[in-house]
Amino acid sequence: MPNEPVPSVVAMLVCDQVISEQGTNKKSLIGVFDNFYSLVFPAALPRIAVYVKLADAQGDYLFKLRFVNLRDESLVFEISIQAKILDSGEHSELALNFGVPVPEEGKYEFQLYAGEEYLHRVTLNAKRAPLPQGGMQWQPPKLP
Amino acid sequence: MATAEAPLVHSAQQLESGTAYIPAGQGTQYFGGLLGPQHGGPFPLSNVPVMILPSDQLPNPRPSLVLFAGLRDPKLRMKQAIPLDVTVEEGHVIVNWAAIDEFGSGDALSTAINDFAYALRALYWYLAGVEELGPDLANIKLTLSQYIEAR
Repeated sequence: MPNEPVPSVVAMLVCDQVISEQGTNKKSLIGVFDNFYSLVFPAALPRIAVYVKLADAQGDYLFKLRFVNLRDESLVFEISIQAKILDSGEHSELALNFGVPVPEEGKYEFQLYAGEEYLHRVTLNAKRAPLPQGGMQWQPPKLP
Repeated sequence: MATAEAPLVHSAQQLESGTAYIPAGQGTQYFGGLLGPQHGGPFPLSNVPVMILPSDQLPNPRPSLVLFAGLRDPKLRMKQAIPLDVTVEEGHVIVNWAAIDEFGSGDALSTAINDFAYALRALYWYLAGVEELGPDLANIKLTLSQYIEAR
């Protein structure tokens, strides 16, 4: 990794799910979003996906996706992804479908690193949803 | 009360390049250009190793040094990452590249890095457009050329 070219992020988006079409390998990003509502916190976002398109990358990389609470820049979690990219002449793409814990309402970021090199970020706003009229019973979603 | 649980990775994939269409004759599975059935599960199988770091092993997200590689200019390529010193002054995060004394500031590390990236892009293109530079600016241009190159 230390001698590999520095990747450039062409696109990085948060959505519900990344689908790769068999045959053409075309990607569909389903439900691109920035905001997340919950009646209670801590909460869980059981389905979220991050899509990353990179240029200039070639070789072995350890990408790190860090989920950071911007209130105090505390790290909620980090996911490491090992990838071997063969040809820097072509764009390379990563898709991560996962579920995340959201400790409190506020602003968060997904920060992408290649090794220890900061590449890019996308923000996510966790907001408290207004209570429904009539006191409806509601359970927060849980990670499966 | 709900509790925040650990993250759960359903699928992690390094993806193949997409193709606009499948030409006829590339295989009967494509029915002459039409795609066959897609996978039925909610998530495809992972094809790259993934590791989730537990909360007690997480590094400091606002370290005293960051390696900057987020230039975000489609006409430029980074040859190597730029080391940035990180400090906090009066509630603002400041990142500084000591070699050319260029800095960025913001409410958080990433906003400071974004501010630095903006300043660095502007500086690069300004210096690229000037034919004759004084010794200080020429030195800065030389330093920049060791980290950034045009595509």
